[in-house]
Amino acid sequence: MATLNGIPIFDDSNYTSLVNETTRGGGAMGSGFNPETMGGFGSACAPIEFANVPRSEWKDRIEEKKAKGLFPSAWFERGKVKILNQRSWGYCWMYGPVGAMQCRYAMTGQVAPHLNPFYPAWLGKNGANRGGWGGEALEYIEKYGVPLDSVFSGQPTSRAQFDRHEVKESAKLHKVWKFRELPRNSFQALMNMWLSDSPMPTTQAFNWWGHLVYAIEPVVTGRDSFGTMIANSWDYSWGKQGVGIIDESKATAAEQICVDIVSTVAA
Amino acid sequence: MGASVNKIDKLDLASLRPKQVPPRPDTESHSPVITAVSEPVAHSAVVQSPRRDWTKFGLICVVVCLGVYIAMSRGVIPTPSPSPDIDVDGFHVMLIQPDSDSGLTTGQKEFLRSAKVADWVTENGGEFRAYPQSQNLDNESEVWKSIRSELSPPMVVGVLNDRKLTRMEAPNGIDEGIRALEKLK
Repeated sequence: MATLNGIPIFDDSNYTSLVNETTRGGGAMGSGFNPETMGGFGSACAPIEFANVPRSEWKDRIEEKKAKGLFPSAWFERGKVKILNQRSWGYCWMYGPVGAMQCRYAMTGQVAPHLNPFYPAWLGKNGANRGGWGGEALEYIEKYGVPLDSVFSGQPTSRAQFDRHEVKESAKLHKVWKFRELPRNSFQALMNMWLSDSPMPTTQAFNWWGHLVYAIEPVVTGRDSFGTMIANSWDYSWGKQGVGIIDESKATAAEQICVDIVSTVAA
Repeated sequence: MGASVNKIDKLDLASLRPKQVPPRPDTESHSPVITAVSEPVAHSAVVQSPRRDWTKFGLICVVVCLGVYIAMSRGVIPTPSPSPDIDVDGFHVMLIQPDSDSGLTTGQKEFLRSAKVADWVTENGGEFRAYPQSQNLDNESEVWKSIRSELSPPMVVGVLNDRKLTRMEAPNGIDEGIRALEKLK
């Protein structure tokens, strides 16, 4: 398997291994992105397009911005963003956006809070282990918030755990105030955002994988080949410390949502 | 200017003496009417003391003032802040990312979003925050809320050190900005 700085690259030649790892493929890891239930653009927000950057400029601009610490990846390390673990629950559609929230908190200069996505996902699905999509996750995050993992730990299924006062108070503090949905099925749209003045952590939902992750950096993988570095929600044992690279050939996402502004965290 | 000095230096002193006008016939006055030609003050200055070229001096002042203005408007030199003291120890740096950054240069936008700036602050013992302009800071600590209350575009950089707050516009680049912060550390 090809790697870049030790990070595995998934492309047309080996992507089936990812599919096999998920519960849909008979594997143990949960996925949960369900494109069949995904709403239209209007159910998340109107798609936003950034100024077009020609492909001929991608390599130089990626390298320049990376050197200047302008991608979310630079904050990801600095802010000690936690890699989440959805385990066997099909809640990737929530774990991805919450992971992106953590990264966005890190971009304010703070150590990123460790949030527990299980809370809003379980409440949104009334306890059912069902798939969803990123726009749906944002609705539940707005409704329920996301508590700190230190206050609401693991994946409890007792309703009483969800009703605890301190859990609800913690959840209220962590919400998404502003997000932007990119045009679907467009790697160009993703790259335009990365190379704009405001690169943001961005969820990516892949039909071929049935899985949703979030991206933190565009990557130059070869002479004229690119990809995205993604943080998965399969704990640190996956990829390199929970991070992998999806080659452009597989990085065209059915849904891409940028997390722009998150609520402040009490210091 | 040099030509005019030379011009003055070359004047004939005799030509500057008061001229005598011959009396008119049939006038009642018998005194000679003297029409004094006022002496050029500049010439006196040349004779009595070194001449100052006020034009050159003025031009230099204009150039210097213009240079300082440009440097300050680009945020290279922090603008002195009339902000009240914030009674908190330590070194704090806050950046505000304007909702509309259409008036900012690429360098300024990069300064406001680079992790390298945050790294520098931390490495120098400070604390760092960078927030979008429209971000509600209700849940932030008082020191950050205090700094934020003193900032609004174009003053989007707040540096609190030794209980003194300095506000300035975003410097035109990451390196330039770090140099500016270095002076305020």
